[in-house]
Amino acid sequence: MIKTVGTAVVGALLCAALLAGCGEKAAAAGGSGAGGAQSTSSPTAAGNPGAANEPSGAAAVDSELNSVDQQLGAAGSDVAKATQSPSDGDGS
Amino acid sequence: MKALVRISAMAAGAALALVAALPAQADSSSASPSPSAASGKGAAKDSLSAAQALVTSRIDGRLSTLQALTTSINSSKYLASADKTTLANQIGSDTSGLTALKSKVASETTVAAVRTDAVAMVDDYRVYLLMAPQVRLSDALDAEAAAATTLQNAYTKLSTLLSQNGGITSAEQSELSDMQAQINAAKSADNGQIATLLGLKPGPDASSLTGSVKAVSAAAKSARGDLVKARADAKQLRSAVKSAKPSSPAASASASSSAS
Repeated sequence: MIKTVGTAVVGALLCAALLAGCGEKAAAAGGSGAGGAQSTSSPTAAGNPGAANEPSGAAAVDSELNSVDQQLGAAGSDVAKATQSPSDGDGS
Repeated sequence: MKALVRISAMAAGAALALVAALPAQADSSSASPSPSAASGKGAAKDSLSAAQALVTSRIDGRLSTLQALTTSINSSKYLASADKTTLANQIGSDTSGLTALKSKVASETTVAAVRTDAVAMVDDYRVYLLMAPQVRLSDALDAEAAAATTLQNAYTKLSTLLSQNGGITSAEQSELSDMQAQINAAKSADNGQIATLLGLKPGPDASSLTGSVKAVSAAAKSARGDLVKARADAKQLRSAVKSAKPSSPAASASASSSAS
């Protein structure tokens, strides 16, 4: 009787452990899948040959040129502010 | 209507005259008290109080500027981490020093001592002449470095895309070469400027500091000009990619590999 109960408990524990393992694997697979999807949709896919990849490469260039516009805008504004005269007029 | 305009003009004139008079009055009280002011103890005390008030106000102005600079540093998208730390440390040190100087001014008993504090306020910190340009120009130089890197990435992608679209024409090659030359010129102009800028220390020689800051500013302006030209080249090349017809995958692969 005790043996039967013990076997049943051990069996239940093993089942639970197996199920938990499966869950972890499923979660891990889901995570890497999402990451994979992100990487294939990234602008750096332009490196592949063929017309199919040309739009993503061009889009990456557009994005970079927009960033450059912002970077140069900030630099221009900063240089202008740096050369403004001191606010209390004592040249200090 | 005309009367209203006239009254407004008079009021504005009066306000301007008042504002103009204040600094002159303040300067005379801090720089050299008149002999008549020293004739009585009460007058001397008034003169000391005026000098203390003026210098305290000028210290407060500097503390406000340092606070504003801290906000700029914290919100900057381009400042490199090391530059942020260097600038934040310097601002922290200046803020502590000026706060202590403010207390010292309040406890002075002579106008001469307040005048000495005023000199220290300027020469030992150089908030307007040095600290503010250090923050602004560091941000500009780091933004330019980021722009140079971004343009270099765009250059690589544009080369590949043009190659894939049936090969690079001589006009496109010329644009690519100019783009690369402008990026290199910008990098060269900015090279070492942040180290020079952040190495400048406050001191009594205002013209020397101004000259050093102007040199860094000129380099940043020059680099920005180069980067603007590189960006113009990149936009031309981007238009060429748009208007070009994509070639077959096999030809593209061959062109891409020969370009690299």
